[in-house]
Amino acid sequence: MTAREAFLERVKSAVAEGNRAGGAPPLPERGRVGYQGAGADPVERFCQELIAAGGKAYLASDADAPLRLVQEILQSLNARRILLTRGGLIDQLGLAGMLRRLGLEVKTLDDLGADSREEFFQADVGITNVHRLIAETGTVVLTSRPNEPRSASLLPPVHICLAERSQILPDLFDLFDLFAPTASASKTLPPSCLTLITGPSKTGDIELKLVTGVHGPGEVHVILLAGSAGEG
Amino acid sequence: MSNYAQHEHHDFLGASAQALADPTLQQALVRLTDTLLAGNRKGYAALADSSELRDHAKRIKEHTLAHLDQYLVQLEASVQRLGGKVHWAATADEARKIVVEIAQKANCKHAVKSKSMTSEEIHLNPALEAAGVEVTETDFGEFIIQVAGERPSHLVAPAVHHTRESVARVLSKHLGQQLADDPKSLAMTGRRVLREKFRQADLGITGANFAIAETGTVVLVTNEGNGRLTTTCPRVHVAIMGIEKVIPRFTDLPVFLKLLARGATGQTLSVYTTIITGPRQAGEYDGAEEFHLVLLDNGRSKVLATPFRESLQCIRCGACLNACPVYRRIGGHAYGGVYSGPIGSILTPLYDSVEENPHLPHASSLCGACQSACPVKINIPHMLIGLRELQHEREPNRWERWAYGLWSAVLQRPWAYRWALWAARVFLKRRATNGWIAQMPGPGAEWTKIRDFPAPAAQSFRDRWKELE
Amino acid sequence: MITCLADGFFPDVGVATVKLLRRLGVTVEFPQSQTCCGQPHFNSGYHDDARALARNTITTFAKAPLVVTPSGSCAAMVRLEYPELFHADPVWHPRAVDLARRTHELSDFLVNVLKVEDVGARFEGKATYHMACHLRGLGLLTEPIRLMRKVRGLHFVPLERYDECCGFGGSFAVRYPGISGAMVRDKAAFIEKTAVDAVVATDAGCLMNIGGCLNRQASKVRILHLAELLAQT
Repeated sequence: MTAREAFLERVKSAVAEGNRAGGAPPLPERGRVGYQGAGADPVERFCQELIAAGGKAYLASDADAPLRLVQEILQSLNARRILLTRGGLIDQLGLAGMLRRLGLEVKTLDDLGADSREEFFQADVGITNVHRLIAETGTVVLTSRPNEPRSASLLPPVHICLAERSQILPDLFDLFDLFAPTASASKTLPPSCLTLITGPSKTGDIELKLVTGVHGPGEVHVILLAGSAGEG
Repeated sequence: MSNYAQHEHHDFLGASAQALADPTLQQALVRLTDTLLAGNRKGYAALADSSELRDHAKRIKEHTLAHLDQYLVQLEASVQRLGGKVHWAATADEARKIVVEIAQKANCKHAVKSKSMTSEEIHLNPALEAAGVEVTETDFGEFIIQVAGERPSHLVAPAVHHTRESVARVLSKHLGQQLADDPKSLAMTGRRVLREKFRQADLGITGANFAIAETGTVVLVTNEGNGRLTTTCPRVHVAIMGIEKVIPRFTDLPVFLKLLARGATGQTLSVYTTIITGPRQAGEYDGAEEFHLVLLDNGRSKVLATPFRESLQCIRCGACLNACPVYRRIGGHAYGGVYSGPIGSILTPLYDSVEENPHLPHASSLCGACQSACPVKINIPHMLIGLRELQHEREPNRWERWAYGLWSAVLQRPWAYRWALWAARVFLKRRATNGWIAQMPGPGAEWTKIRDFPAPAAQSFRDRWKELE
Repeated sequence: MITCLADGFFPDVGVATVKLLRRLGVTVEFPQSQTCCGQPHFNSGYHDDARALARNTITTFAKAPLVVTPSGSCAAMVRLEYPELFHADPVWHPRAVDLARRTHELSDFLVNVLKVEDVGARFEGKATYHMACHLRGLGLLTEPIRLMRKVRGLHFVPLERYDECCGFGGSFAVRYPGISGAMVRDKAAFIEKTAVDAVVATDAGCLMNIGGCLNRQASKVRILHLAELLAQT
């Protein structure tokens, strides 16, 4: 018997021995239990929850607003080195070009070689698209993919993301349902890394005093566009 | 800071007395548990049907544990399909060897660790260091503990027994420079130091809050982001998990995520939930290239076979510690094990031994505050009572056995019970003043060390019943 | 059902319970064969002894349509532990379940069975409330407070950490006087802060612990069982 087989045999007999007469309970179906939803106004709910978690939310009302908001945030931070991911709203808005015209040092994935991790460590701000937002919790959801490195929302001290209001899901359960098996398809395998970000990095390890930014970004800014296009 | 934080011991009475006499620790414990327990209650209250959701979570755990062998096989297949590797570790020793071997094969020299109670349980760090691998704890609290050479004293707030002054002292000494005792600047120093470690790291070691059998997914929940860094920067990622952490489906995960943060701190969700399904895929810029999952038994299958199986439902949120009036007063180190508080009082005797930890099952008033706070409603008082029963089987205390037996024999006979009431009344009559006794004989003396004992009434209720009829 | 602690140490609680129930039109019986529900033995891990005492209790109350006890801890023992204690016993399990269904803690009986909150009681002064731990297990989180708030003349003062254990815990208080003492001293300090005339609780265990501590500290605050409070007119 291999170590693995012995291991499993032990678990199997323990399962049998410990199962009380009457049999093991079936895997329960949740139904609607625990579903919170977002109430009447998911946008407002998202913003409230994000702010409660220590993040900042901005509503972009006109076509020029997103760039103006990004610019204001960067100026208030006195940020120089900006790192951009690719695709989605970032490309649609032509953000890289516009920020360069403002004289900022902008790095896009096109500028980076395979081994330029140092650029991520050095950047002042990372700007990304999002996969979804969750209104119930004020959460930004990112997926790892060639255009969206995990480091962009992680290593720089400030994270700005661009999203459309249509990307808001009311409840955390809705996100996971996107990956559940459906009648038509067997299932969508989750990405290699699905990241849920709810506000800035926090620690309370010293006397419970809240400090932001100990590891991840100390600031999270979410700019919400009015549009209704699909995911980024 | 007390020296009992530095080593394992089983002197429960000494350590708890020391904790009770430490005003700084008392203040820290009250602050922590007040804040987190209030968060726990607020968190559950904010979910309209939190009680039903907790029941649902409990049923998922019950089901999984009742089919654990099948779910482990499914988890293994899912991880392998993605190109990850699964290792089976029957004991702590095997687990240490597996991790050391992974590090050596991949030629790793610098490991970063995200907070993991499981790796704490198997005492991984010394084994890696002996093999020439530098290990750095990256949760800020764990980092402080590591530098101080101590053990964590709370599941989610490992450095709660420290003050800003003691943290400044510990880090100043470690870094060889004088640091101010301001939490913000100390944390920023931590960031700077640990960033360098992440830059160098070639091995990332994590636990797993959950693992999903259906998809081969490992889930890490942190507030600081060190879990993300540990799985993003190094080229090799090893996750070590107790076998009870598996859940069946991807859609079961949000049930636990909603409860974990609410139960632990009252947050709707922890800041970072990192949901990793296999190693980095082709074309991706970052993430670990190699993914290993170590499945640890280390006594769990033994517990699985017993009525203590319910303890395997624990999701390590720390809510029972925060709710516990005993933890609140003696802190984590007094428990003498890796896990402290109510859940530690069950896990330590079960996994270490009942004989070595005779106090833990008894050092509880069975008030049930732990069960009320638990996201999966584990009946901790019941299991403590079960351990007391087990203790009587293993190491019977003959005098106590005899006393309880006699007491029960009396109570089973109403005439004897009536006689005993009379005897107690006569015996204690002289000692009472105004209905209270300041000094009791026998075991009652322990009671009257602290408070007075009521004198038996001149007439018992059953005697007065006649007038009432 | 009058608990052994109340029987021997706080008989006034039993008398008050009888008076109160009669005032509300309930016929009260007290079978003399009852002694102790077996909780001390159960909690200490002597389950065979506990089963013997449970069988005595089950037999004693076999014919009672409803069993009311002024003790959360006895009610919890009967309602929550008896069925589990006999889970593998085909003869006693159904009888245990049956008694569990018929047994009520006093405030539970008043509020949820009789559906009264105003029992016509009067108390001149300030009072606060300490929640006994077994009420948590029974899910009786508000019943005693609702009853207290309807007592005429009573000025209710909330107690800080009112639902934290007072440190009694049976043998716990004797085995760990240091920890138990820290708990009851904190409880007494919170009670003193309310500046009340009386602290009300539903269990003899809490009352002897809290009362013993208050008496040691020469406090002026009286301990009062909920039944005693509600029996006064």
